[in-house]
Parts: sequence; C-alpha cells; structure tokens
Amino acid sequence: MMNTPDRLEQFIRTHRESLDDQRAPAHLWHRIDRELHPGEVRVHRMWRWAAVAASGLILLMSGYLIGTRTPAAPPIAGWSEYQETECYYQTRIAQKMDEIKQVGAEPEVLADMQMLDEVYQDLRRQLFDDPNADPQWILSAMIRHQQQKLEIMEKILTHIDKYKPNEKQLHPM
Amino acid sequence: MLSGAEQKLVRQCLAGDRPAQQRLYRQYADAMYNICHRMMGQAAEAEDMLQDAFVEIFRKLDTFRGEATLGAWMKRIVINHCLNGLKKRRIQFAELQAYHDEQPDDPAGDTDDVQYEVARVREAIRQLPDGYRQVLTLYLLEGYDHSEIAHILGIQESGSKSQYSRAKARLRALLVNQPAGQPHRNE
Repeated sequence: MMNTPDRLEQFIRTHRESLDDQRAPAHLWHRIDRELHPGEVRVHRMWRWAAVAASGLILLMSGYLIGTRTPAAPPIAGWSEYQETECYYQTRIAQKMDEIKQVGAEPEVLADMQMLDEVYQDLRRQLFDDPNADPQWILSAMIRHQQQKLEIMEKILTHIDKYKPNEKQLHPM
Repeated sequence: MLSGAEQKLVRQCLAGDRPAQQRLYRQYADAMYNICHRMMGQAAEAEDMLQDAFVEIFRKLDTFRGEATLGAWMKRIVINHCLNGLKKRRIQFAELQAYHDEQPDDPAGDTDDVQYEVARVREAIRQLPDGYRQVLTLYLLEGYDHSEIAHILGIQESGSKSQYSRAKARLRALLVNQPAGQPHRNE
C-alpha cells in the first residue's frame, strides 16, 4: 500500500544526497586493512607489550631517584668500562634498526623504537644529573634496557619474516 | 547483475588484492558511514560499526551471489551491525514509551507551512530519539518498505508503519520548533 508522499517525504527524497554530510574518517581504512591482514597486527600488538615493559624501567627509575640537580656531578665509578659495553649494544641496535627498516615495518613501530631510545637517553641523563642516584643500579638498568630493546627488535624481525605476505608488495612504510 | 568493472573489482578483492579492497571501500565508505551515523546517533559508535561491517563484508564477499546490487548487499550487512550495536540500548521498536509531548499518529498530510531546508532537516533527523530515528532512516532514507523493515527489526509490519508515522510527526514537530542555526548534538 503506497501512500502519496507528503511534502516532508518528498523533500527528503529529493534532497537525499545532501542529507549525507558525513565523511568516513580517514583512519578507518587502515584499521580495516589491518584486521583483514592480521600478520602485521600480531607483530604490532606483541611488541607493544615488550615496549611497555621496557619503559617500565624508566618509571621504576623515576620512583627510585629523588633529588635536585647539582651543577657538578661526581665521577661515576665504572663509567669508562661501561662505555665499551654501551658501544657494543648501540652498534647492534643500530644494525637491527637498519634491518627492520629494510624489511619494512609500520611507521608506528619505528616511532616507538624512537620512544625507547628516548627512555634510554633519560636513564643516561639521570645517571649524571642526580647525585643521589646509585650509579651501579642505573648502569645495570641501562644494560637491561638495551638487552630488552634488542630482544624486541629481534622478535619484530622474526615476526615480519614469518608473516611476510605472499603479495607482490609489502605494506608500504 | 554486476557491471563488468564491478565484477573485476570483486574478483580482485577476493584474491586479497589490498589496493582493490581499498578502492571498493572508498567507493561505498561515505554512504555507509552516513547510515551508521544516523542509526547509532554518534560518531564513535558509528566508526566501530563501519569498521566491523566492512571487515565482515570483505570476509563474506565470496558469498555474494548477485541477487541484489553490491551496494544493497553491503547495506544490509552494515544495518545488521548497527542493529546489533543498538541492542544494548534495548530500543523498543514496536512500541515506544510515550513521551509526554508526543504527537498521536501523524495526521494526513502537512498542514503547516514550514519551509524545509536541508541543514535543518538533517539536524532534526539527528535529534530524533532512538527508535524513531532508525525506522525513519530505514524507510524514508534507505528505501526499505515496511515489510522489509518488519523483517529486519523483528517486529510486525503494522508496528513499523505506526512507528514510522510517529517518527514523522516528531520530525515535523522538531522542524517547527527548532530555532534556525542552532544544531543540537545527540551525542
């Protein structure tokens, strides 16, 4: 039973398209795409947990270290020995970073690698700036941090490799 | 029947061709998002519904047999997702609780002299309460008839008709009362 449309109905039907003023938000395709192709999503989620754990280090440090900065920091025992260790880790981290970039990781992965780096720099600053800090504690925290970062990067590479799509092109960076 | 171009696009999507999937999405995303936005009444939920619906659309694309147009087939999936999302609001589609200022069934025709403007009509539709907004959307904007709506919502056809009638009356009331240029957010 079709009634003759009244004025309101006619108006709405005539202007049907203008009533659609919303645009689908740009980020939604990215989410849909990732849900449809879960390999990369798995990497992303998994390593985020590790990153949270790693950044937990800095929170622990912040809670542990209190005090004000003094202009002249005393020399830190074990620093020169540590520098060799740091050089070793930083070189390996840089290598892994190159590999990750080559294989093609998502921009968020790279951004959060950057964040981890900043965490490490914060640790380093506190080592020098805080006279109340226990340098040995911080140094071993810095080592642990770098070890963890390497582990994370290793896992990223393993997963990217494992879930490499069979398509012709990788997800562009 | 799908056009040749659409058939090709569907084939590519089924093969997992991601740029093709993105093209198909872009073709329909805005229209579908507007449906979600009207059904859900707010942006955050509308986004969730659109995302879930499209994931299902791509996953079920192999079941599409061409019995309807691709757009119509996709629209049903989108609407079903919206209705599932609305379930927790426990909207009574068949009989809405009476609002104290609710008009009885819409008297035939419109005797008012309201000049309709697109922006105000758009806003007024947004202000319609749950229950009314969905039925009006399905009938008047998405072109389903009352028997289809009854099937979709799980109500009687007469329920759909009376709900629609009341929705129209409420919409008219909103258009009469609404001061110009003051949109009201239903979020």
